[in-house]
Amino acid sequence: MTARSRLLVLSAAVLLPATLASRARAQAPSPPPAVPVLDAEPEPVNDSEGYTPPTEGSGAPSPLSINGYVDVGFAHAQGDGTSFAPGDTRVPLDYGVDTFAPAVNSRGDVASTDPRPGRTLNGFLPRSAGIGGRPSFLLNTLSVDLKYTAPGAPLMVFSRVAFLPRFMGVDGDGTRVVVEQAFGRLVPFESQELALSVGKFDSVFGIEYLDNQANIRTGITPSLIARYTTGQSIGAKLFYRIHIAPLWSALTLNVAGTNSGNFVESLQPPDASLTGTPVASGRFGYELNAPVLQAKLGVSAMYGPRNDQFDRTATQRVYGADARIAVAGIYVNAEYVDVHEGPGTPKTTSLGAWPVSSGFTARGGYVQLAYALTLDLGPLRKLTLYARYDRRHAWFEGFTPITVERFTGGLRLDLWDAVILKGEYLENREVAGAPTVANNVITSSLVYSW
Amino acid sequence: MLAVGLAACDDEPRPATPRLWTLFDVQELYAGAAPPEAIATDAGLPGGIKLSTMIDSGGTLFEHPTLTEGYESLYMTTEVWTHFDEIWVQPLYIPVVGWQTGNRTPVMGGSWIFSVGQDSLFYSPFWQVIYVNVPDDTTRETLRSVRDVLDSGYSLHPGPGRTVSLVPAVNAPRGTLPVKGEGWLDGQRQAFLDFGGATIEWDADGVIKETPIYVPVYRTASGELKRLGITTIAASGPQHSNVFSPPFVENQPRYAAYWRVFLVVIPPPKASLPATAPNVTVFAPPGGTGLYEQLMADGFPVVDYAEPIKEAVAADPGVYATYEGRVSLKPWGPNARPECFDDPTLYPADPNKAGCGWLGSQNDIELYFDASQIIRTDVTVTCPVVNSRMEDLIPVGLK
Repeated sequence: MTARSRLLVLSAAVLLPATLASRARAQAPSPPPAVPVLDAEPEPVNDSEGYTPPTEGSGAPSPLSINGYVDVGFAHAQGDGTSFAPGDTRVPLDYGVDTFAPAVNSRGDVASTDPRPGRTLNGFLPRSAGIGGRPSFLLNTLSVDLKYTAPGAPLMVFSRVAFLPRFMGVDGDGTRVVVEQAFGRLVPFESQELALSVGKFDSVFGIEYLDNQANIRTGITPSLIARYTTGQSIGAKLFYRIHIAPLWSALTLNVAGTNSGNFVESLQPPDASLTGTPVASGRFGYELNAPVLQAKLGVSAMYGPRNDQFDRTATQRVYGADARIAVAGIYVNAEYVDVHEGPGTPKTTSLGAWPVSSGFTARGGYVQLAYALTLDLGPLRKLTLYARYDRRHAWFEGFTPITVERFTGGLRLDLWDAVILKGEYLENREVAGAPTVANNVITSSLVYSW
Repeated sequence: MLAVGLAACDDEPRPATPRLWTLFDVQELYAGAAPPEAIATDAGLPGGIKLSTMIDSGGTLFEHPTLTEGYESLYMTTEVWTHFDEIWVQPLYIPVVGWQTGNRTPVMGGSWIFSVGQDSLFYSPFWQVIYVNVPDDTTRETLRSVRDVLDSGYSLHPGPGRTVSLVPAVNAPRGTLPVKGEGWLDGQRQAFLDFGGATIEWDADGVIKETPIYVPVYRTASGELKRLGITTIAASGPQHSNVFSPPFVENQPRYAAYWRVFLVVIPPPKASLPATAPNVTVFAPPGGTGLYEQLMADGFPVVDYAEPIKEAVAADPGVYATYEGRVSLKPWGPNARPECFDDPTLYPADPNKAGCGWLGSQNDIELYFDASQIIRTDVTVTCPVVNSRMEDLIPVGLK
């Protein structure tokens, strides 16, 4: 086994807990890539090199690979699909509730954000699936990945494009095409696990961004804090990992400078810097990869101007801590964040222009427990039970602080190597501040991968 | 790390940051080591708004002189916004018993529930009353927050709008108006001043309709705009609405409480006008608050004043301070100034006195000044008119 091969195996192995091992099954087997892929997409794992095709000539693998998935859902949210209470006429309506609570898919889209006539919003909103309180099938995502590995060069180019058909209410149907990732990654030193990426790429904050895609995420919906940590953005990032082999351990550093930091695009547009100043973010992590126990611990931070307004002195900062433990088929993920944004100029997000960017503070986190049972029952390869508890306390400057919590439970079935079926129930509770509203969700997801 | 190393440095203009000052903020500024003289100084209003024209350092509200349809009026200033294109009406929940019987009575003892606090940029003192139909045994402690109201399941009934400012401990300058009270905000007791109903209108999106309030200014020789005295001119209705009077409710005029500040650029007087033609002349007698000297220094033409008025100003400058900077539209007399400038008995104003033909109404401004002389600022204010035509305006009660 070459040094690079060992590096690849170890890199893939430490990513494994996040994806419940089934990630490997979900991907068609392919030869080891020329460079380690750290978080761009799931990678196959082999304990031995096996047959290695020639790197050049007629037997060489194509440097271009195409992967992707289709995520079809069926969801039903209570009430009108929003978190807005019927008699609430405060302005803005989205400051006094958690608009992200009734999520229906892995993108965090909610059943509805329609405030109804005469009620005013200020852009603290997720994307909407537009189904309101009616049960509906959804084509959540059609995602296509292109990866090109340059022969003879330590360079990989990756792009991920998502097609998102949605019902837009009075605007009718519309399919949004989103370039979620598009970057080149350079690994300049063969002896070091050091990668420099430039382009549009995943967050470096915390751990939940690793599960952004429906074909990877254990369950269906993101956590209540995912809005602060899982957004892609454009810029440059540096990843470095050093292994401490005698201790089965590794230390990682992942830092980035981007347009918008790690907020999701509905809150801060990633495709342009509105202030002219980049946002810095990073995570320092420790990994333990013992034979029976795998653990990842990390601390993250983000600081810079908030990219939903134009004043570079209006800053945002986020701190976080995360942990993932995998042992005996049990997987525990936990994350906590502390968010603060200063007030700025009128607000601009990917959803439009809004009157004011208010000062904002949030604290929250989640704990997720999953148990995966490997099976060999016809097409059924794995059965996973999971549950998550979320809690979030947040307030806009001068507005009523709200506390919400969510209990999520679900079942996931992995069929063959290419199909995942998930069902999930979300019970959203308004603990304090926000009016009580019927916004629980039952949702499902059928993911075909290729 | 290319981008990290390239912290940009550009000079592209950006939208200004919206600001809101309440009386809480003004008191906090007074409490600071070096309180500024004025706020809202970056939004097109020369000199901004002086703290002392809202409250003094002891917490007493200031009654600001203004002219409305030519009448002497007074208002108070409780909130100032800069760089807001619009502000919104917010719900104010008032528990009421006896809804079904028609004998509707608000729960006594300070039971109003405010929905948005003064620290929010979305706070406004303009509320739509939402009556909460509660059982007879309801006390003021029963509902203490919006969540309590909306979770209660009691029926809600939209009512009229009113202007109620959330305030710290403040003093009314005289009498018992505006009405002081206390209600709930997020479960805490909160003091307020109630300026009453019939003071606001809003559109289908809840946006409060603006009414212009005019600040006379002049242009110095160097082109700078400067204020002329303290008196403003408050409009009767929206711009170019040709409204000659505000609505009368309960037999009193009810002016808007939310105003957009406009500048009216006063041109120099024209000595060449015929003796019967209205002229534009700033009242600025020497020896007053210094406006005469300021105008001279700035190269703005001033008229000569007769000895009786000079002596009267010297003897009691406080009486004339209110009038300094006002603009007379009277034709000039044989002494090359309005004759009313020569008669000290016309001051202070009185309904029985002839007056001096002051520029004192929206219609005057829209008639005598073209669009280039009326400049919109980025300042809006809560200024409920508390006195007009020499009588206090009693706040309109709940309907």
